[in-house]
Amino acid sequence: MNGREIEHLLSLMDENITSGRASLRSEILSYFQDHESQVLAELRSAHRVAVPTSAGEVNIKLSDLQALIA
Amino acid sequence: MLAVSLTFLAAAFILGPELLSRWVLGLVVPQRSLSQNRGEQVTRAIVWALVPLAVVVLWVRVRHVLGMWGGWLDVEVAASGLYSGSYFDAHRVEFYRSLIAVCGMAWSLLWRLYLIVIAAAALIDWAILRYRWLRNALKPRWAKTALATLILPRVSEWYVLLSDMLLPTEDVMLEVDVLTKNGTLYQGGVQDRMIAPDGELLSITLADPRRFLREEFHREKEEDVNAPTEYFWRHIPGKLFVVLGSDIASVNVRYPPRQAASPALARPDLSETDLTTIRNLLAKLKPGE
Repeated sequence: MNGREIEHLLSLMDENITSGRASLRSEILSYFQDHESQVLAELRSAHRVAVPTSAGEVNIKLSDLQALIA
Repeated sequence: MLAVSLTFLAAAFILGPELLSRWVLGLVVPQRSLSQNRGEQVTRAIVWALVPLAVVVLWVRVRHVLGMWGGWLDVEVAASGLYSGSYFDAHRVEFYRSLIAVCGMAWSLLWRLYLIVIAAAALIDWAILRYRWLRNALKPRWAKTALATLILPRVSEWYVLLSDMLLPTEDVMLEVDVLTKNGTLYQGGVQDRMIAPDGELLSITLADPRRFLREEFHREKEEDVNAPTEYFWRHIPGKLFVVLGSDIASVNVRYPPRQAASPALARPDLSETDLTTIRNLLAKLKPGE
């Protein structure tokens, strides 16, 4: 594998990371919508919510969510 | 004697830079990680010798360095003395004087040549160490390709894939899924890798390893097609887990975020619809709702 081929591989990886993040974001937001009462309960009690995703369990803090829409 | 001298000079001017560059590059990338076929090795040896030598020749000509030691006549006298015993006997004094001048000229060329090779190899070492930063700093596609063409062939592709060279940002980490030939799937962070002299992968050491319960998953899948895979991963006791390269069928390289929420929910990536979803969720947190 020469440098040009590896650089092509890197470009594909860059694209995969971008699409991976989009996919993860979509999974998190879908979970918020599909399990809204459970998410709200967790946020009220622990100020954080654990979201199961294909990349593992994602812990999201209430403060991070509030910072996003601030 | 002339043939021996020419062989020595060829070794010093052609093989020396190659060996020196390998040694300096080996300080950063282990020698075992260098992977090249015969054609690439010959091409690299010639480039390593000729390009710096051209620079050195230009350098000594501009500075008139060789003239301080002697001239072409000294080369002829030294070569004649080495070639012919009778010439050597007849011109012994001139021969030694010219030999000293020729050695001085060779020394003037060689130390400059080796200095340039060391500087170039050190620059490449720096580029290997800072490859991720360099690649992210270079925006045009052609510049990225030029960097990859110059740097990456010097490093085994396994080293490239299983080191932090390719991590696109600081907020992701390197993890792999390793499928062995007997069908077992392991997952974990890449703690270390062993690479053979020919660039083959000898082993991967996984940090915080997990094993996938494949049979249980398939049984569950028969009953529930939406069975989530996350519940079928089990942590392997111990911090490090070594998988031998000969047992590996395939490797899936992943870049999960260090802090899972931050990259996926980064503000610039979120659409207005995404933000509305979060706003609606947080609005329901308010008392009385």
